[in-house]
Amino acid sequence: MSSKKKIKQINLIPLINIIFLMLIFFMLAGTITTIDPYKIKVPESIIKNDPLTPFLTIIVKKNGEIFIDTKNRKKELQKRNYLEILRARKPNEISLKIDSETPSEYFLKILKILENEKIKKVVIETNYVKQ
Amino acid sequence: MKTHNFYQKEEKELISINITPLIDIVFLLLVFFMLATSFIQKSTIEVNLSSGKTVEIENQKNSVVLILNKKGQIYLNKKLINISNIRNEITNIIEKNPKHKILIKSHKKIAVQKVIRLIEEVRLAGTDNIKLINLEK
Repeated sequence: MSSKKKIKQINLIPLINIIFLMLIFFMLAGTITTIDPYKIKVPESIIKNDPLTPFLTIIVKKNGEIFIDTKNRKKELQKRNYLEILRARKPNEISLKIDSETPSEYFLKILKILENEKIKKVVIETNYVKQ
Repeated sequence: MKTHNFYQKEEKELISINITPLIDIVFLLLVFFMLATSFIQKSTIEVNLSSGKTVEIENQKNSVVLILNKKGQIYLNKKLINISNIRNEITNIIEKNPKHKILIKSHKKIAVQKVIRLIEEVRLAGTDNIKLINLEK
């Protein structure tokens, strides 16, 4: 009777151990991603630099459309005159999130605008790829 | 004798904790982290905006012109070059004269990815004197 009872019971402890290990791995090794409303595939980079969190991010889509993203997303994450926001905020540094397939003419155009607006520092967001 | 049995039973019940809700929650947490986390390493490239006027740079004797045409071919001072050789070539040029300025002319239809790769190769060669312009042709 007792041996029959033992067979029916499955030992869940090893399963729990493995699940806990997997949970700890995903919690420590990964970074939680935020949903990108524009689905921008940022360019790949072979140089590893620390990502910055500047106040303003300019988003350039594949078709050259420009959006501005600030910390106050609800109000300003929309297509509008980004120059007005730039001039109002006067940021020292700007992050540029540009799609990797965007034609370079749009890229150079936005750099020229930022240069004219006397922005001191522009960083392009990339994904690091080991060579 | 009877009381003894009662205590034995109670003790056994207290020891066995139902861990099913715990497993449920851990499973939910695991699924959340598996779906929400990403292992892509973020990086950045700083772009130098004020590196002089294009015409001035082009006319200077110590400027290096890198052309990225529509087909993705790269020309270093009008000589076709492979992207893997750019780093060495520019390193050699800079060693001779560290004041050299690099002018990158990219075709307006070429993808940003290729321009960024070129900028990185130049950076890895050891210079930050880069100016980006559109290729007129």
